[in-house]
Amino acid sequence: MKKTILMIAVTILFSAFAGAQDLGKIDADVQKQIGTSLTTYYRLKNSLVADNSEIAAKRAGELLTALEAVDASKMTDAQKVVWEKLRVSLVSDAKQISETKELETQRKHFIQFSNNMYALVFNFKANETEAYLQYCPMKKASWLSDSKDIRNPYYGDKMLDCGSVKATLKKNK
Amino acid sequence: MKLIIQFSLILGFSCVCLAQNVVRYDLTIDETTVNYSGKTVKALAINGSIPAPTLTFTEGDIAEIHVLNNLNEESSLHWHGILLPNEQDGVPYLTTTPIEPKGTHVFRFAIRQSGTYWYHSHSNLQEQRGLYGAFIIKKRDEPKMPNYTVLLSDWTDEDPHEVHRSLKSGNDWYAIKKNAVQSYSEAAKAGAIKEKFRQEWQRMDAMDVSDVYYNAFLTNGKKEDAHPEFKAGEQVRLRIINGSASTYFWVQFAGGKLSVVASDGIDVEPVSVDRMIVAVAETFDVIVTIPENKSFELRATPEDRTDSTSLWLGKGERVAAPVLPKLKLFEGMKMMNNMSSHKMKMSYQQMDMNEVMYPEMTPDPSKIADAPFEPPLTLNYAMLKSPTKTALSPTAPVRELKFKLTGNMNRYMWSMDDKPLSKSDKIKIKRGEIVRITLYNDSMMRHPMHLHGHFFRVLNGQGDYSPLKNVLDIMPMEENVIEFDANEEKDWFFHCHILYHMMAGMGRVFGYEDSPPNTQVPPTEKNWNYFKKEDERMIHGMFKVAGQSNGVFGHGMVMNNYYFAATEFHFNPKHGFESENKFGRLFGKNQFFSAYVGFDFNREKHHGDDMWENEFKATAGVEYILPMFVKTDFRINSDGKARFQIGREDLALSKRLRFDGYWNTDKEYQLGIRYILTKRLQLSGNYFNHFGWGAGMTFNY
Repeated sequence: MKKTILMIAVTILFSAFAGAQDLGKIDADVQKQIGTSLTTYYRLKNSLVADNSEIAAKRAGELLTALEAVDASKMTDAQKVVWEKLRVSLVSDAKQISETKELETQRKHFIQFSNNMYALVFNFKANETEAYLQYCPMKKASWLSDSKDIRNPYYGDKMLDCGSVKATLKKNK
Repeated sequence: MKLIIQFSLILGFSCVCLAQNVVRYDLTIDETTVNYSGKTVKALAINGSIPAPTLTFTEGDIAEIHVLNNLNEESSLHWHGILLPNEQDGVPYLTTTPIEPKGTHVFRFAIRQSGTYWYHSHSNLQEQRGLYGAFIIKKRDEPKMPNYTVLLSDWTDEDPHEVHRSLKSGNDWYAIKKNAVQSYSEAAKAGAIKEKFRQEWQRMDAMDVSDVYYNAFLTNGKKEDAHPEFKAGEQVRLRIINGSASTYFWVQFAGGKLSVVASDGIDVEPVSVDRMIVAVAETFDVIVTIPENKSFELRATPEDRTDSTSLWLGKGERVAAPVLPKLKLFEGMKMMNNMSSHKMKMSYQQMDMNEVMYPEMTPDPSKIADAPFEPPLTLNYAMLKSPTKTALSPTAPVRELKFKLTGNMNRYMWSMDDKPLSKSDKIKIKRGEIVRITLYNDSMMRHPMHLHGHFFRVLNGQGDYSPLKNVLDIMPMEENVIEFDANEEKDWFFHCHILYHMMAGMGRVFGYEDSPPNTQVPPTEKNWNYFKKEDERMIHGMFKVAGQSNGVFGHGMVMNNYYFAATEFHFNPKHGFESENKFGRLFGKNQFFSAYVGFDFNREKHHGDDMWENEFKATAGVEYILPMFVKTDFRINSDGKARFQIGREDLALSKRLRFDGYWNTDKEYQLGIRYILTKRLQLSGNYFNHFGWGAGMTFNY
């Protein structure tokens, strides 16, 4: 009896700390698939850093494929709700980036795309290496990077090192 | 012909007289008590109230204000932002006779403008104790919108002189109270140990966005104010005044956007934002719409985010404004360490480097909202635009002036071009010229610079429609340009409006050439010296005495900006008494270097002898602060004996734990730690090679 009460107390305590948004155990395949999307995202980001809109469009296309490959059937119901919400916006922004050669349009969509990517990686604990959320006070926008160093994707050559690390996602495992 | 002119002059004059309405106020400055924190403490009030009564006028009125000073010290009142004759400006010893204890003074001036202004004491630190109030001037055709004045302020239970002394003596009790100590263990936890080292290597103290710990923040003299009369759909003009001594406020509204319509009393083109920072002494008129029949919060959060104060508008269920999350101080530390390497040009608050410390600028990934994340839209000076042309005459001569805003954080000295007011002369300007000022902030804190008696144009890129202001907030590393029409006479104060910065000498005086003399404060050398040397007259002392099982250890110092007298002693019944006493001067911009003369006084038993012997020796030496705040001291005494000493004090190991230690070539060394219990009391323990181990209490003043 005592043990049960203790168990309940521990569970309540644990869930209180974890918060309502914790999605529990994530399927390993799903993590890997989202991880692949993140790797492609980094490449997209690098092409924006390099002011290369053609490569950026191509990478955004690859990102669409990577996102499509995420297998929602292996998610719990709670995970599906979060995924579906994020997927719709992610796909919409990636499409816009892939369909234009205008750097400024691509960068505009990259803002929300980055915010959603951040939420996706955070909730599905999908980064195999440390991921850094970086922020540019000029653009008032964020992005993810696999390195602590600032390589600002919003201004290219003009403001390469403008920004700061705002948060760090510890690597999964 | 002459007669006609005279006649028309008389006619014109009498017309003006008829149209003008004299509005009289009687104000009594007196002591009172307040209780904001559960403790009843002394305060200053006008007509018994904090804030002081709101003075309301209509453009074109004659203001007649009778002031009685019931205090036992001099006082003064300055009408902030008001265009008036020099003698009415209320700066004692510069423009206006100080109001003697139990004395009276009558101010009388024509109201030539409209808008939201305020008034406050301009005598020493009285403003911090409650001497401030709103000064509202209605337009002749004031729109029929409901108005509500929101006077924000900061309150400390301490005597403001004690606050000033604490800042000067580097006591870090405020940082402990604000949870803003950036110690080595806290740095380690935040993964910023390298940054902490770098900062101390550069001999920079841990920084916060503000210096003073306040017991309360107030809206119209209350922690929480409410105005339930407003109904759904109603628009309200809020007249926001920051009457703080040293607090910048973030202002946010739970019911939607803030539509900014005036700044420092002057109209601007309406601009809609999510939030705004209101610098010390600034005023903003903001229109908000009450969206529903509920009570919506207008929240003012001090920049250091330690607390907040609220005004609730409307009746019913409460809707709170967003809470600003705690600052990431170590991110600020990183930014500051790297700032010198950046050569970015920043101006007019457009790029806020402090954003690195604001968690709310990036999305919270645990909350997946339906709407896309947008960082809050924040007002900056580049968004302000005058609705009418403000351009000055293109043919008037332009006087170009440049000032660097400077400070020495370690010693809490604030200045312009590395000189406090006491070391400056009046800056001569001529009537009829345009004075254009380029300000560069070379210090690590923001400064709200205020010009008396004039409005300046902020050259923020709006061209002919540059906005007019009388307070300009300038952030670290910003360069801003302002200009004003020199259309006055006599002397006007230009200073940082953070009270403790102004008192440290961060200001200048503009003096019109060929002016008639001020009738209340004749422009004599004596008056000018008395006025400007206030920062030099500020002398502060500190001492620390440890009573421990191995003896008594003491350290005391009295200093002003350049000179110090210090004593250090230790005593124990077996070994006797030793003391070092110095009188010295600090040199250089950073004051890392100092030179001193002094004497040692020792009372000891010598050579196994049982007799106590007194011993005096003269000393002379130099001190230098090395990176990591390592203090070196080289001296020679009257026997020709040299000594070199190296030490470090106040190394922050954790929030409340401090390390001290020194070693010298006389083979003396001491290592100690202290745990800070209260502002005055510390648990302490040390090892001194002459006295051995010991533990006890330290009293710190």
